[in-house]
Amino acid sequence: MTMKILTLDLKRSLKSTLIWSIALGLSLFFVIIIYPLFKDMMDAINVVIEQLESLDIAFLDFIDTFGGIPTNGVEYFATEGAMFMQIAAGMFASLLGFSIINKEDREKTSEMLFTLPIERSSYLLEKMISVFIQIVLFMVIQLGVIAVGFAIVAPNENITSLFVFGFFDGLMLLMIAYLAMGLGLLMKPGASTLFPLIIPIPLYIITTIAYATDNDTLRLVRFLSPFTFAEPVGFLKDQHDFEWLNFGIFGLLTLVVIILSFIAFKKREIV
Amino acid sequence: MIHVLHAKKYYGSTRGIEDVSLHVLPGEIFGFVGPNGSGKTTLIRAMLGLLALNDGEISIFNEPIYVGKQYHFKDIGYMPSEAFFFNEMKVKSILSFFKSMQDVDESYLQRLIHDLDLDIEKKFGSLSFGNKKKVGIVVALMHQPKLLILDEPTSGLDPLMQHVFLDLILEQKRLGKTIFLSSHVLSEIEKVCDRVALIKEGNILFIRNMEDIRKEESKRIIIWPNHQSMSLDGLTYLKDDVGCSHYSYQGDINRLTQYLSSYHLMDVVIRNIDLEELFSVYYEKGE
Repeated sequence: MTMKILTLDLKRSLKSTLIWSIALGLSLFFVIIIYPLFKDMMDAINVVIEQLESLDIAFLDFIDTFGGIPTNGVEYFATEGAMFMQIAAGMFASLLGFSIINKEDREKTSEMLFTLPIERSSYLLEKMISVFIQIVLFMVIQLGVIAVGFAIVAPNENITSLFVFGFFDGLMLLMIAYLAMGLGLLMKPGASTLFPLIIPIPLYIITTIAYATDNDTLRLVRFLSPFTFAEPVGFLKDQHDFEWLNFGIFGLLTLVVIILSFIAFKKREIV
Repeated sequence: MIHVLHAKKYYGSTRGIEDVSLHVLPGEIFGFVGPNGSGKTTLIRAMLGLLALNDGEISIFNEPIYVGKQYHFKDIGYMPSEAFFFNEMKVKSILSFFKSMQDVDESYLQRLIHDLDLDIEKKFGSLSFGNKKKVGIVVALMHQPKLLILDEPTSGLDPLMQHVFLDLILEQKRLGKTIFLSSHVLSEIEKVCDRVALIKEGNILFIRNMEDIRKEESKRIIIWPNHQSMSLDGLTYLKDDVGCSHYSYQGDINRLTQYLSSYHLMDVVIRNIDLEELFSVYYEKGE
């Protein structure tokens, strides 16, 4: 491997990755910065709930469906920042993964790149490494912004769990990106760049529905979405057991898609 | 150098090429001529391993070609009919990337940039069609490969640059390189090619030496005023235009001038038929 394709791809994609990273990072920063205001409000609500002895338990369950009332900064971030981060980052990862195939087809540069003396498997691998680096960069920026935000407004808050969550969230983004790459290989060159959003948006909704219901059968659909093992409220607030089965299913699925992608890419025609 | 045997490619039910066989010899410039949609680009893409054939086989450097085969590209320079590179990058960065992928003589690269008058400080996306084409030429030629495959290389170039380009490929031929040149501009085929193949609707109509074609050339005669009934062995009436009649003639030129002198003519033009006229005859015959 010469890493020339990797260098070229990083050079070409860095600006858009930084725009995504900074835009989402700033949004998360503002969410964290207003935490002191929110904390006062949360304390007041908790006092009200304690005083209302006749409050219907169903109402509290309803509030729990949306993350419940946070008791500290990490829980606040789980409900107000991380859930938003999940869907935005999922969209970014799917667009990035889809672009491995779609970008060169769309710009019609694949004809020149595929006539270079480089094995197609090396070409694809270098593109995949480029996506890996960009997602790591993206997550490092998000976690960096989160750390700075908490250092300003709640310096004593223990945010270790946020970094563990960030690690698994990064893995989930890689899975989404490589699934989108596989989708790109199935599509014709002229496919819309927004097409890969078909992956994160429905999957995110599946996880949301699974966690919002009491119905045990319906809750099983959570295994159909990689957002489940990195679901922020369960991870950071309710401290659910890690969904190893869901993690395993999507880890395996991603691996299969990557292998099939290498096979399909080797035989891909330029029409 | 290149061997194509009964190559057939369909895109679903749409014909790309029907049955193409040809052999390109080492050190020659082989012209591949046909109108748009005749299958030129399909054959070139199949030769480069970008398209899979439905039937037949292609080999280059005596190695079979299949989709995804990459290693032989060190010895091939390819220029597609439209140059697509990275719009947001400067030309010098694009050239630097392609240079890093090949074994390039820097002085030759600088000469190409100079001869083609290429502004390398501009972003590729801001270039005109002709200047984009020049980038394609430099990328194809920079590593001085054993085989050049050029798809409509001069379309969009101004006449001066067409001349510079033809000089560059003639220079490569003198160095023993093989050139496969697809075009529908017959004048450039006429100037540089050793042999030429004519393709129509996915089938090769003929493959001939340019020298043989020139030998068999007939004359085109145009006479003023109109005369449709001239009769001489080898003289064939073609058509009438406003005030004049067109004939073709094959035979002794003295006999023709003697025959024409028996008519009272206002004017007469006798010229060699060009390749375009010759090919259009073949096309009409569909031979």
